[in-house]
Amino acid sequence: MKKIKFVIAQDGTVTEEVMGVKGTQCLDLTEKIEEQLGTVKWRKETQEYYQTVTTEENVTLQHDQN
Amino acid sequence: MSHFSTIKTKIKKRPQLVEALELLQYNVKENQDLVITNPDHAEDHPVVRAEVAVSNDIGFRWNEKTETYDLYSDHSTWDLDVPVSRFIDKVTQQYARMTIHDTISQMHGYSVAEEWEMDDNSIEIVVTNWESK
Repeated sequence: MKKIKFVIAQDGTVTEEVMGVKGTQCLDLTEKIEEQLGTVKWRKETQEYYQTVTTEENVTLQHDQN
Repeated sequence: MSHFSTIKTKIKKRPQLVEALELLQYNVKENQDLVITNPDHAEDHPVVRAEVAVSNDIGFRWNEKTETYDLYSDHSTWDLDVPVSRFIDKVTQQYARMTIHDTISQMHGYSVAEEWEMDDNSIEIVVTNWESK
């Protein structure tokens, strides 16, 4: 399931966490919200971002041991 | 998880600014002249037209250069329940909340699933897509 969590701090700064979206879909999805809100100060892509939609079913996630 | 972003909110949309102020229980008036005291010239009271105002001397005016609404106020007569900086923070926070709600309502398949006001005064909004697998 696609899920976006927003945390709006006391000063109005928004932290956005996108979950369950593969590949660059999540950027398309949130681009509009970010554009409406203001300026993106910081962004971090997580492992899921580097998966591609077509190979999704064959990918086995490698977890760090430490 | 796919990504994290941190976004600095800018007040750019008038309807969401009005909604934010109303949510904070201010009596909003649109297109009002503000009387701002000039501390250097006590006799000089320039009139500033504010698109969105909450009193006779506190309001927001569109800044074409920065493309944001700027706060105009008379600091010598500031009489709101909170100091200026806290007022700006509170308005910006509610503006962000209204902007997220407005944007989500225009995105097909997405809706707000949860919304919480946290102990640290932050606001948490969880949005889901009911069309996704």
